[in-house]
Amino acid sequence: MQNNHHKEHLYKILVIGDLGVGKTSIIKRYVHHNFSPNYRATIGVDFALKVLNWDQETVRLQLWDIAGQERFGNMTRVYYREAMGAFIVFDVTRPASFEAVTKWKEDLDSKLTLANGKHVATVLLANKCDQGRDVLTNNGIKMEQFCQENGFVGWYETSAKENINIDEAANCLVKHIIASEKDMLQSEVPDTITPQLEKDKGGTCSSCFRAQ
Amino acid sequence: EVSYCQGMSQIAAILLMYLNEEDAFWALSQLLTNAKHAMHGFFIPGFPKLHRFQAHHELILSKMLPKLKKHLDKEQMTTGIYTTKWFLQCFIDRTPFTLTLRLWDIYILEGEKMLTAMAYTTLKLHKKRLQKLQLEDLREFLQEQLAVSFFLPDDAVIEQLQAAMSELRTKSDELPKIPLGQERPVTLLPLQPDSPLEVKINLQPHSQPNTETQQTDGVTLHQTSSPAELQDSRANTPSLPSPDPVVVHTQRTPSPIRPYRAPPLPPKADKPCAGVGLVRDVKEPLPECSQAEDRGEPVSQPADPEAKEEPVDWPPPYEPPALDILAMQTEEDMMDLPDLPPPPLFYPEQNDPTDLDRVSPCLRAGTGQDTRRRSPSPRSASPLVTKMKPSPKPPPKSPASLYVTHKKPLPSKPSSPHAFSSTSSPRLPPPKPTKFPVSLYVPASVGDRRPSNTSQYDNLSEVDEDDRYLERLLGSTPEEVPSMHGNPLHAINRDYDPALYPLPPPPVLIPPSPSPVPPSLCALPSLPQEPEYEGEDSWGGGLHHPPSTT
Repeated sequence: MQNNHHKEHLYKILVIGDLGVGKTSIIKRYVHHNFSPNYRATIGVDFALKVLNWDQETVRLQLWDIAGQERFGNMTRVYYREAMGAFIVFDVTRPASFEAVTKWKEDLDSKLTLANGKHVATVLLANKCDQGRDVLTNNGIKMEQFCQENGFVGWYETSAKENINIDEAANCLVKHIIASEKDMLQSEVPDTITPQLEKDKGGTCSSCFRAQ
Repeated sequence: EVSYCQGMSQIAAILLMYLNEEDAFWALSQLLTNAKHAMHGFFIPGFPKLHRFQAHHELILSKMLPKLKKHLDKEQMTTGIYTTKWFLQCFIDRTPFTLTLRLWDIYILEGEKMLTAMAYTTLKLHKKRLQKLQLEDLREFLQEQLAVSFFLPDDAVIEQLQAAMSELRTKSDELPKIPLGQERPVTLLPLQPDSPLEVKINLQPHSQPNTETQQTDGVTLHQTSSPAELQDSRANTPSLPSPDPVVVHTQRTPSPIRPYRAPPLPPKADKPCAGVGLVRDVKEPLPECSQAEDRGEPVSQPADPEAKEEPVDWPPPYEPPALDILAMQTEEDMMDLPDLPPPPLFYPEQNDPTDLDRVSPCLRAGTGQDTRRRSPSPRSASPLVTKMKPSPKPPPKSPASLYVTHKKPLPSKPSSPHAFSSTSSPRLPPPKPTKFPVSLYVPASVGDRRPSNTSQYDNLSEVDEDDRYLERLLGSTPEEVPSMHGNPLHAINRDYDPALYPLPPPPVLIPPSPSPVPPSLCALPSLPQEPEYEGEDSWGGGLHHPPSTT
């Protein structure tokens, strides 16, 4: 397949966020073009494939739907591996789910880094925007700032139900993933040395001191 | 300790389809706490039991399906992705609904060992196809396709499952031998001191440790209830419904267990069924070694200590040698009809009339539904059954064996006799038994599947099409579909009506049955079987179609 000039990319994308914010619905809307008002809890993990044509290239997005309940945390972190990007989703009608966004982001960054040591591209989704946007309007001004401070490459108000901004958000994420991939390719050669050195330093020093 | 965990709700939903709220509550409680199911370990933080089962599943794959395992590994289709719902929810949403119900019957009856067996069976049945699929297609097939259609009639799947269970049993891979749950030790200590009677009870079922650990508060109630349930389960009855803790307690405390224990070894000789029950008991104990040791039971003792010391070693630790073999042999015979029979058995075992009354309606409803489903479709589908099984042998044996098991435990118990006699004669009026056997054989699934599936997966248009297609093939009646669609509860109730059952089967079915069914079985069982046989003949046509399509 890759022999063709038609190049294919496979990107693994995580969709994380608190329970019931609509992760599964977003994926369903994006991949299967439908929406179900019935809630069905995700047990563990699931994933779906979305194929995009991107600049005459084929991009296959493997969207990993991670259970939002905290209890599944340790089980699902395994599936962070090799992801190239992530959506972190919150529910605009539930402020608590927004407060959890930073927790999810920290968790993601602590468990997943690209080969070049950078964090994966992450887009913030304010889902259920069809239900009212009080939470957003209250911090509306802060959202841009919030994204910058927390390392999101962008944010979108989305609605899986009304199919609002989901394609746009995905395109944004893909754009950044491709950019970071190019970035990685360019830095591939030096990459092997630098990060290891840094890691070694940090690890040995701190651990030694703490141990004593 | 467990608290809410995603995934429990669907289990509760299935229970609520057949039980009232209170019964469903206790059923879920028992599923979580008794030794046979111990779903507690599946849901507590960390999911220790899930990981254990997944690891064991991988072991089974590497032994039994090494090629497929290599392929899955290559595609990075890890067990964590596709087995989580299998194990946590016993295949809810991952198999056609009719099959799900039957799997749940077996799960309730046989306990957790069926989970690994069914996981293995699923992959084994579709091995060839799976080996050609890439990751995304593997996911699609295992998570969605199989939920729409298993590509095999339910009866065939169940048969394969039975074969797998015996296969795995022989290889001692049936279960992870690591102790279940995490809290055993704590519970064990308190139990022994309590009272000799209770302790004895604990020994047999092994359920106590789990329950106790989980529920420290109502120790007495739980203990009593759990053993009772265990007993029921042994007898092939679904222990779930144990509604009244109090009632159960009084009944069970009398030390019915004692008698059980003693009989286990001898019973084998008497009948295969008894042996099986015993074997199960023995295996169950594994998790709680300490208790078994204390009791000094012949069978359980040796195995248990090993398990305790070396929880990690699955196969060697605890295999009751003689019992296992017997169980294997016997079980195969028994296995043919395991799922359906359990409900009828349940009644007889329960001692309390009140309990029976309460529970029975629910159970009946459940069974009724099954039978109903099967009853309509069976004729068309019956040929399948014949095809699949050497029809004559399995049906007669199974009913007989079931009965035996029931009877055995009952007599041993002091209190049970009353309940048994009362329950059996009044409780098991002909209609019920007939239903069960009938339901078993009939691949009612055909008709049921479509409706249930469609209702469940509203979003999947494909499902509907597939279902219709299958329906056409199988010749299921359209009526079935609508009933299922609307309200499961309503449908069940309708089905449940005793009047419905007797009417359809007797006229047509009766004549053929006599020949296949041995008279010895029972007056009641014989009736049900007959319809089944007929159904089998008709089914053959149905079966052929599905395979060809696949």
